[in-house]
Amino acid sequence: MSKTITLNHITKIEGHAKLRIVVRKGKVARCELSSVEGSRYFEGIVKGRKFYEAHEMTSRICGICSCAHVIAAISAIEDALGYKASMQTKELRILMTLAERIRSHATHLYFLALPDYLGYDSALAMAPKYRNELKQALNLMKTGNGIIKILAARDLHPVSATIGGWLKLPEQEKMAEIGVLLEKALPDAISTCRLFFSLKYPDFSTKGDFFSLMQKGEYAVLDGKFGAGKSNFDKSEYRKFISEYHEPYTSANFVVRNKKRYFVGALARLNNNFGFLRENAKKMLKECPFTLPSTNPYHNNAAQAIELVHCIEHAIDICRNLHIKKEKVVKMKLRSGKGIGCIEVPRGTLWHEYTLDSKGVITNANIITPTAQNLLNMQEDIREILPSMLNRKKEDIILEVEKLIRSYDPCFSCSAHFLEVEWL
Amino acid sequence: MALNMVKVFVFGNEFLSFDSMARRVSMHLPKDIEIVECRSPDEILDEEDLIILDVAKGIEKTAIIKSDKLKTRSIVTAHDFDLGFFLKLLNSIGKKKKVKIIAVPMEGDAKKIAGEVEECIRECCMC
Repeated sequence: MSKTITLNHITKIEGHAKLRIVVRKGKVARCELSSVEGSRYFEGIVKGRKFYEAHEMTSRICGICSCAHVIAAISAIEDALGYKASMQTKELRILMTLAERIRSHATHLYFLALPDYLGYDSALAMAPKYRNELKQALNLMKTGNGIIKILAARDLHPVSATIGGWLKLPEQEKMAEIGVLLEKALPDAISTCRLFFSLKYPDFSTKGDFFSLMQKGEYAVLDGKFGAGKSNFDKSEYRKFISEYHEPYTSANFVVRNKKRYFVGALARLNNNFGFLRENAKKMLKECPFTLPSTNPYHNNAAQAIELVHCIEHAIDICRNLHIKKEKVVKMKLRSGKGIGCIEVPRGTLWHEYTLDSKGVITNANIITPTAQNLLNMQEDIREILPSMLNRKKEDIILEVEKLIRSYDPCFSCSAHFLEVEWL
Repeated sequence: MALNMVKVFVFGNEFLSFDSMARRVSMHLPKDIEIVECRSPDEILDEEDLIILDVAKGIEKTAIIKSDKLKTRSIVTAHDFDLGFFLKLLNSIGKKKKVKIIAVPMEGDAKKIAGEVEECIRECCMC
């Protein structure tokens, strides 16, 4: 006898996904995680456009991660044109990336992940009992938004960051203002950490590897080699190691490294770079209920909470130490070539690659989002965890599977996509 | 009645024809009204007394509506945070605001609607 579970709408994740599980004679015969959104065609849209349009266009891939796509596209185009950004520009790009991570992690942790663990359907339902926690969430989100607004001229789809520099530099007083916002938000991030350390996470170990950018002496954001430990490679070599493929049941891409599945995101970054956490984040690590490296994907939420503390501290350091000086946007010398941007964004490592002709026209583009890289690992984790729960009620199974998926903080809108489970 | 101390928080998206009326109307309001263009609901987080101008689906005439009349969707993705959810959340966590929402229709003559909105703002200030 066979049983099919179709979860047609996985809730509380970014975008829309579907999960189809077929169980025959007590064994999982099929497990297919797929996107139910239309393909986005951004790589095709930018073809034939000028080099300076890529970041503005690809920003529209996602409202939550618009800064991420802007910075990844700019990095790739500058790489193609052989340009190295100034230290000031780089620091401002890091600051904007950190601010987006603060906003995104706070939103995901409190509004999408936490209700699962506290037994509520939504953040609204938990509001009467968890007022202070939700106030913290709103404060953290506002802090992230506020910084982006100051740096980027608006909170979504930033316009100040550009190829060769920064269109409207923040005034020094504004940097001090951002520093004050961050100092005020730090206690909320520390409380968030303690809250997520107090949750009971299921015991599970993924077989996927944990990859992120790694850079000596830094909790890598915009630079470094990609991999884990000594197994890493330079971004220029990514096509040798990383490949994308399709399955007939989904419009999303699957991504593998050397044909093997892997995990990107906060837990991968923490596993690989925890030695470079800032002071308070390091202190939080001592209170953490699990040890690193962790192979439990559910720990990704606690890792995001630790990153909240780290990102705030890193951002405070930038605000204290960066003395804004006038720098004009550098005019690019055009040349044909290929460039790659590989940066750490809220949900993991983001890749942008562009090929330019000698007139600066984009002739080819490839974008690999964190969720696309995590998709196979998510699907296989579900396949592996299912046998342990098949004797439970269908509703419980769906909740547990959704919880696992949400721990990855996926964005299906961007990978080409939310959970539909089909029980056969 | 002078409106020079009044702040109006305007929501909507100028690039979407069905969501741009509040922004278009705000351009025709008396210059002494402070217009705050909001792109994210958290911009009203620290405001106590709020007059919000936004487009409402299903109305033909400008109207003042109470925030408890707003329908809210459940949040399934971070893309779903809208004003209705946000106001309800603020209410649930005890950050009660004095909120007056002036709703304008999706279509019509922005200049004419601005006149109706000005009357509504005056009414809000009297309450």
